[in-house]
Amino acid sequence: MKSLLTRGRIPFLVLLLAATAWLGLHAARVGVETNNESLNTSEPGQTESYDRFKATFGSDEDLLLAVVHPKLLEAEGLGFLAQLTDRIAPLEGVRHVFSLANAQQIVTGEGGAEMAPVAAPPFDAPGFAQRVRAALDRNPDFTGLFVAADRHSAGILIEIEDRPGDTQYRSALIDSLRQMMAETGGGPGVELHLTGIAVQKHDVSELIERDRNLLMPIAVVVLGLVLASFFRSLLGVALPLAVTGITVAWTLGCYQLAGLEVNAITALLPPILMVLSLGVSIHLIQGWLDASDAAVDRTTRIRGVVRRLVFPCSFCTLTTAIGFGSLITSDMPAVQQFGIFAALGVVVAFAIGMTLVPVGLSFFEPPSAPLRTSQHRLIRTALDWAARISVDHPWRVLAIFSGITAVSLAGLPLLRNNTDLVRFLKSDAPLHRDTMFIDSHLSGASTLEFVVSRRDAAPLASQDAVQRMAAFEQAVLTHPEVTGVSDILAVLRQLQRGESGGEELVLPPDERATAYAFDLLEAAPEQGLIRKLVAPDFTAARFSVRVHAVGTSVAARLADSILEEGRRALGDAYRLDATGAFYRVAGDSNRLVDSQVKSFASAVVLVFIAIGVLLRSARLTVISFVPNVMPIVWTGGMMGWFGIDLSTGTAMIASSVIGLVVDDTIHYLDHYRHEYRGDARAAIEKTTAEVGAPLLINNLVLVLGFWVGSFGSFKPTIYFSLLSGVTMITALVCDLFVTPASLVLLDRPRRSTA
Amino acid sequence: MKRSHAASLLLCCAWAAAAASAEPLIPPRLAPLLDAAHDRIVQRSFVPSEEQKVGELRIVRRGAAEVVQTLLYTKVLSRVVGEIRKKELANWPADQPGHADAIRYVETIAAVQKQIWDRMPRTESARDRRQKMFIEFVLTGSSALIAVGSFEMDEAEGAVRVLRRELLVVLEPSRHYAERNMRLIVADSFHAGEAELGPLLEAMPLLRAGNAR
Repeated sequence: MKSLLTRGRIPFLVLLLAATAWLGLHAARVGVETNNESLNTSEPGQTESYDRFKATFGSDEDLLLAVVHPKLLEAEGLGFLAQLTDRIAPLEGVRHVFSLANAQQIVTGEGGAEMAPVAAPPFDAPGFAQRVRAALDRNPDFTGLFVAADRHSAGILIEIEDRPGDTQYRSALIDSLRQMMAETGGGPGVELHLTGIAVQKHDVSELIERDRNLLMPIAVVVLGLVLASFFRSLLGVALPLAVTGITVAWTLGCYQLAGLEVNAITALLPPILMVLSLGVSIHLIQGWLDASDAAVDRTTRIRGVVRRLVFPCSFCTLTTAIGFGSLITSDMPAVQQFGIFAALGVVVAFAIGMTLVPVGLSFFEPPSAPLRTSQHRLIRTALDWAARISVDHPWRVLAIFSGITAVSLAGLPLLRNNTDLVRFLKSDAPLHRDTMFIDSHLSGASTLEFVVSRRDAAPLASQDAVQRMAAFEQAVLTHPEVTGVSDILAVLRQLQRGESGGEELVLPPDERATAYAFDLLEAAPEQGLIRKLVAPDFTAARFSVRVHAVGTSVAARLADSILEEGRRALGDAYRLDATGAFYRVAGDSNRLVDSQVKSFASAVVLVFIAIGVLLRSARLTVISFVPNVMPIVWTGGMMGWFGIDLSTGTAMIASSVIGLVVDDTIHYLDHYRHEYRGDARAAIEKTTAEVGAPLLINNLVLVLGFWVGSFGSFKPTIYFSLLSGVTMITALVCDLFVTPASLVLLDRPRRSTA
Repeated sequence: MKRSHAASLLLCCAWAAAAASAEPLIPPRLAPLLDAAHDRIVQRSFVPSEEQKVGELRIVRRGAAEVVQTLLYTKVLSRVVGEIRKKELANWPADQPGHADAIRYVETIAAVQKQIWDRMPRTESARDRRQKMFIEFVLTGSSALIAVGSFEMDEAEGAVRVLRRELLVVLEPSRHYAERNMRLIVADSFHAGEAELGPLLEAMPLLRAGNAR
């Protein structure tokens, strides 16, 4: 350390600058993930099932463009619809476009059932609107998907291609569609709304980019202001911010070198790294300012401060890294990446802080007396009061805090595991608005996919199979969340009506008619729509269950219920599997929370083992447990009472924060241990007075830094930021009240013996 | 009254038995024209295409006779017959000679299709459910006829081999209708214009000559 602070200073700074420039260059090249793939878990069974589904039926990421037109079913409205359909069809990445303008119905022709357009041109022919209305009345399956029940809104279903290696085509398509929507206009009373999973992915990517550009500058300003107000010197602002900048550059550089792109979760890394990397700098600078040995030379003074703080700071780094590192147990790649790189960032921050700050300080003359402002005096008065209350009324303190914990514990069962991709966004976001419109006017905005097959892999072209599938369909439709089902049975009913020449929509009545209906499907010249509903060899049938815009909590329960009822209706000879993008999100959400609970449990164990090793005292380790678990329980309870869901973002709070909040306890107990001379009261008062201020400023920085995330675009990350900040405030309060109160209480027997 | 019922019943049974077992009565002079034992296939094409085939069209030499043979093997024979009907009515409108022959032809193949359909087992869904019907337009220097029936086949490497034929109906249309229809069918199946049939009909002098007339 001595040589680093003297002749090694310049080479060190040159090396640091070079490394930072190289990694910073890589950090600047970090791209944004456009397909949200890292938000899917790596559960192999589900991935395999979904891949099989896509290989058989194509992509389930259809887009839905809702068109509101005052004269929808007249020449004007359908002409507009036809114009939109024709403009969308040739766009890059579009496989098929289905709308009322090109929809086909099955009618009775000369040779049996044959296809005929629902809206046959010319649209201005006499009686056209009546014919279209009659066709819609005859084909109730079109209502909800292609036209609203009130006949004022229409849906254009856009089937997009599945290009596994291409991450850009979806975005380009959404941009083209939005541009077309803006250009088309359509006149008074005309509205266009676009939704679909591809739109969600596109908008999420754009918002990540927006957050990345917004949150970093805000974090720099906020942290700069806090540091300036506390240290009142350029040095106190520049050195911590330099450590922060280097930490972010190094960590994101490594992130880019690992071949990763930013996703909705890792978008939080830069502001959080900025916050996490300040602790070491703050403690070092505060220690340097507070050092009373003014007589010694500046190098010795700095070395003394470093020697005193290296141990607690390294343990704080270790515990914080353990907290974040525990996220590696998550099934979700985005959370794993967040955990790994936050942990790495903490370690980098420690290494940079412990070297750059001393080197930086070595260029300056230390102050002759500690900084004392009115603000500092206020802090000291508050800290003295806290210490006094804790040592004078330890039982009361513990009773009050235990009461709050009990209320919080009662809120924990109210916590709901729910991820809602649309409601993740603020209510004024275009996707949120459009999806809610489509959900209330047309079909449900989300789709749960189910695949029926026979266990013996035989085709489903038998009457038994059709009857059982019909029973399954009926069971699905009884759920209030379900708005409709798209399946091959609807086509079979239309075929049967066309073949029989009747009016009633019924399934083929016998074995022969059923087999013939499937023969007709096989021979149909236009296979596009049929292939979306049934496998080419008829061994698998798709049931696309459209549901209202619900979160994963409802969706997961609904899917389980449908699976159970479906398996009962289909019998043992049949298989029923649930899959699809939405089902995956629902499953992922549940698994995520399970894995976060495990991750939190492992983090707690590891963190307290580390504390035990540091303090080498079972009594102090037990004492440290209470004020750290308490605030996490409070936050959980608060989420339960206020109806804040456990989701991708909020499920990370406990694991992420446990490593941070114990830092205060480590610093407090480490200092207490050094001050303790047989009188807990005196040691506590001295410890609170001396450690309280840096803890307060460190926490203030952490809290404000986390709260910068509340300017983000996603509610889970906003909640993550706000609640993490709140947890750190409550953790500090616990450390200043519960820790000393516990120390006093557990110290009493020894005092009385003495 | 009872006797009348019994007579009707007897008549129905006799008709049904005849329909089920007996082949049509063929005049001896036409019999050699329907014997496919020594057919030489000159050209063949899948109908409507190799990718979505419902059958195939063959240009065949049968001794001195020239044959345009359609083998249909499809689960949706009624649809194919419906398509043939549409084309026939378009090619032979009501105000043109040959219209009556066309009507008789489409009615015949519709009846044979129904007969083949009715013979299909009603419960088995796993076996080969394709309905197989052959249609032959046969032309010699002196006669023209249409033979319609069912057949059994096997397939090896995409090639169909007729194992057994059952002749169900024989029609004797006008020579003008048969000759021109054969040319139209070949043109349609080989996706060629009627004027471009020369190379396809190189081994079929009668049909080629028909174009000259």
